[in-house]
Amino acid sequence: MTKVRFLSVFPDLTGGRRESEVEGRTLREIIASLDEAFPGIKARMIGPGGTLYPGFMVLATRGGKTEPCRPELDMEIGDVDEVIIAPVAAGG
Amino acid sequence: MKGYNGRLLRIDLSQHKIWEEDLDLGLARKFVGGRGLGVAILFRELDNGIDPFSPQNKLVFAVGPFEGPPIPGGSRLVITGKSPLTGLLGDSDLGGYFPLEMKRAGYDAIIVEGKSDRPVYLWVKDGCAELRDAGVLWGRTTFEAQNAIIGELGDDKVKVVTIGPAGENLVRYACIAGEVRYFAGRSGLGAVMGSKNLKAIAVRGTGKIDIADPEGLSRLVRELNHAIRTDGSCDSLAKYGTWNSTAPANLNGIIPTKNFRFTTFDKTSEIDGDAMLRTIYAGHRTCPWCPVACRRVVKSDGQYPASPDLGGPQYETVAAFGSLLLNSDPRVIARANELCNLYGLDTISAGVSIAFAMECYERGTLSRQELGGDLKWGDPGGIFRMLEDITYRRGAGDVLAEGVMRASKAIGKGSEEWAMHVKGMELPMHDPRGKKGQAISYATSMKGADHMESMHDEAFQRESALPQLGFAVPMSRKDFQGKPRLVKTMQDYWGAMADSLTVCKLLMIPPRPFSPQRVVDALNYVTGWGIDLEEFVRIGERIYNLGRVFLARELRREPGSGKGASLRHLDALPARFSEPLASGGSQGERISPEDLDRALNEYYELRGWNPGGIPTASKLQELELQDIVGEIAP
Ligand code: SF4
Repeated sequence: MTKVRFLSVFPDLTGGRRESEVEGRTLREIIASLDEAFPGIKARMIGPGGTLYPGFMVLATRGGKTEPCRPELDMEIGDVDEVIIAPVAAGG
Repeated sequence: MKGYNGRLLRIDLSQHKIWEEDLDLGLARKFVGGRGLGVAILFRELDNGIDPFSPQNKLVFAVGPFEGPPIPGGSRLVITGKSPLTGLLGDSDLGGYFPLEMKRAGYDAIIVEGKSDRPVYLWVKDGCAELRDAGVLWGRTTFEAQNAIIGELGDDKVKVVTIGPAGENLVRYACIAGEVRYFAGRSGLGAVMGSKNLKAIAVRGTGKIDIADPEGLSRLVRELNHAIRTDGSCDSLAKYGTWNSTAPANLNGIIPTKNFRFTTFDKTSEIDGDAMLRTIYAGHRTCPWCPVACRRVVKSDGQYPASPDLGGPQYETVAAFGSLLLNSDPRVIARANELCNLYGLDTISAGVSIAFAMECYERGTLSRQELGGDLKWGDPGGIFRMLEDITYRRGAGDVLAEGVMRASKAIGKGSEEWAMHVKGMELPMHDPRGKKGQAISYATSMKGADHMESMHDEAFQRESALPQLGFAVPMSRKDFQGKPRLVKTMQDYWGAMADSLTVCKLLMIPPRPFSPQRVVDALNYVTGWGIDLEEFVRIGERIYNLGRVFLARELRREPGSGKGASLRHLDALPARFSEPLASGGSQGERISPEDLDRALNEYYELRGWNPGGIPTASKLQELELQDIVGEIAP
């Protein structure tokens, strides 16, 4: 199971929940599992072209260090403490 | 000229004289509108070295070509004048419905000079203008003043920008409130209005603006609105407003905490976007034609009342009255925001000034007696008391009303060390140790530390962020590498040009869909200029350089400086940022003076400035500013 933390994204879909535990080795699988728990997340994250919408950042925490993941849906996430989905919030 | 009224309104408050002038179309083509027009007019008309509070200072309230047609985010007013905080050229902008109404009332800019012998407000309606008595409004809050003016004029479609008691009392960071929901917070220009006895400007307009290619523009606007609604890039902004920045700022270790001593706040989950939605959120508002509606409405009752009739706090205010002061109660943030709105205080400078005072109290530099009571970190009573004392200049509030640069000089005892400002303007809520582009931008901005000059580093951590402007390769937010070029380009493209068009900057941050090509296309559809992106950025560069020459010219009045003196010492950051961060998402990050120096060398070179940070004659010639070369020649 992978812990996924929602950082100011999809409050309408998650009912304000800040985290969830889901199955999945890749981002695509994680998003599919999230979509089962919170229907609509997949459509918000993956565009018609089958790639991640650029409005979100996916980050992974390993050994206390959080770094952005490459936006590739089929890349294995590996052994992580948690995955974080956050908006690309940059100022304002 | 398409996209413009072609008319300026001039007011000499000393003489109570009002007249109209044609807009110099050559000037508009060269500087566009908004900030560009303001800088160009003030460069020509302000004498070197004048006191910002003297009648000689002028305020330019300017819109640009984007007001009129239904362009999302295309309703912004930029106010330019000499700032009482920095003593240099300052500007500040606000959104909402006033800018559009002003353009429809017939003017591209309203230029105010002199000083009235009594409080007045300016009433502008469809090409007619008059000064009206504001004696009964003086001393009233922004909200009371606005409502009284609308009542007196008998038309609830009237839009008002006004100052509160802070502006009247010359608090150096007094803001200008638009509809008491949209604020031109920075640079202290509300105090300049106060110094002129100008309480407010009210506008009402029904005019129409001709544009060059209405069909092309409406096609572009349809496409843009569709993208805003469907491509996901504005989703979080629409759901949370700028509160969507709070949790990521904490995660990344850039949220200023305890007066910039830390950059993570252990109680962020009590004030982040989700917490705000749960506690004080009461709805949202928008600006004309914008489908995002990011402006928050809040409501709080009981001990900390906040009304939904006023503008709710944005991210900057959440951090300034939250983590910065170690307060984790959203209702306290809402109340502090409301007091700032009513008194007419910039929330960023007010929060930083109170954080400075709290650190003074903690270190024993300011006593309980001087502060009129305790001022402990996170204490709501202390925060509210200080806001009042600053507004009415009581006790230590009188010195804090001068801004932290002057306050620390007056207080002494080493307090300069924790006075967080650049060029006299208090720092916004993004610790630059975790985003080095902002470090360069804060240091070099002509108006002091401002977070809306260069797009933030986070947006450029992914591939193809803005390939049209040469930013396709990801850059780490923590590195200086590539940042001088990023900052230079963004100050020209975003800082200067968005403020001159004038348009909302939030919609232009990648991956949001108001892309460089769409912005340039929109300008061409409105004006018929037919320019390309390169020329567009070049106009921004011209505006930026003119602002810089203004700064160089001002410096000449300082003892020992002459033409050609260096500006480098002004492009500095508070010493606190040379300390490495002990924890959080930016752990270990610091900005040493050597790092900043190296970045400035590269930045100056890219800008075509000399090692002292002054534009060279050849750069000015290249930007068609040859007529001002004499201002910088040795
Ligand atoms: S994004 Fe927000 S600030 Fe910008 S125009 Fe839309 S509502 Fe106004």
